[in-house]
Amino acid sequence: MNKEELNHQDQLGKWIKESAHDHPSVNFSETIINAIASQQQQTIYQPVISPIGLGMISTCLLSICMYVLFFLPSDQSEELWSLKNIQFPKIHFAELLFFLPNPSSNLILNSSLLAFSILAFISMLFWSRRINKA
Amino acid sequence: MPYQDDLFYIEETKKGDLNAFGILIQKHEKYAFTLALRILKHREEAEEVAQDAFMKAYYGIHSFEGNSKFTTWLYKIIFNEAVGRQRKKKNNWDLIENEVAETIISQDLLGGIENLLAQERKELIQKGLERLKSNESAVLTLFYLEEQSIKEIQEITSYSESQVKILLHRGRKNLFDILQKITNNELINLL
Repeated sequence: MNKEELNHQDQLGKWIKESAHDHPSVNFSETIINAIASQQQQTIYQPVISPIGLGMISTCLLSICMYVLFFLPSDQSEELWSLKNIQFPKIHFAELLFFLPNPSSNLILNSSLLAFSILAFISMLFWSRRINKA
Repeated sequence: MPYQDDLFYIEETKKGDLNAFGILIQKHEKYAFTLALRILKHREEAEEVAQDAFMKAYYGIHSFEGNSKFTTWLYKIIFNEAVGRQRKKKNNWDLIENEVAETIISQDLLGGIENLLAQERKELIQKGLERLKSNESAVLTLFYLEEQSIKEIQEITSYSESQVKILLHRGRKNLFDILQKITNNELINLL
């Protein structure tokens, strides 16, 4: 590298330093800090079951296990785990009762309903013809 | 504002002091933003990238052991973020060609730029850097503005020593060419 080239480099370096840094927006650092703070808040997990609750549940489970393992007599185990002792749901068909009420209405009501239905049907035909003509 | 050594703020941040990291950002935001801007040539994108890089630095600060300078570590994150964004955007991150043409710089150009007012010269150099290829502009900025050594630039960019030297040489040459073009155009406009 000759002397002239080094001189050019020095000049260029001086000018680039002179051109200085560009400035980001005023709230640049605030934006980052806020983003980090909000992310930290989001990642705080609260356990659904409190430590005391977990302790109680595990104590219950442990005591059941202990009872089953150490306190149940071994000669009854076959009886205990047999399907005979389990009460399954059953349906007693003989005791089932279906009641269907007999619909009853008087003659005047039935005939008037019939008459109005016929009238409605005729008027529908009449109006549909008029609409088609129009 | 007089700042303390980076390591002090890093240790405080590791202890969970977010304000210490805030000061660390304020200390380096201009450098970080300038480097991202030189690569991306777009202010909003550069700001986004610099912010993302700072966030990555925060979450990875426990892995920073102080074997290198904090700025070298930070610039590496920024450089990778910006190059990644550049690749996604247009997929043409400039390749490094090994050929380097001889630099012929006219004394008139050097004298002309030197004789400009400081503000005019600053604007001219910034224009020139904006038009320069991203990798050349980044390496020139790191070398001259951030005063990083070639070894540190190697660490930041993952380029080899010869590639960094080529980029520096090419960057200087191209910057002079661009400055020549800008000044010629301005002269034509004046006439």
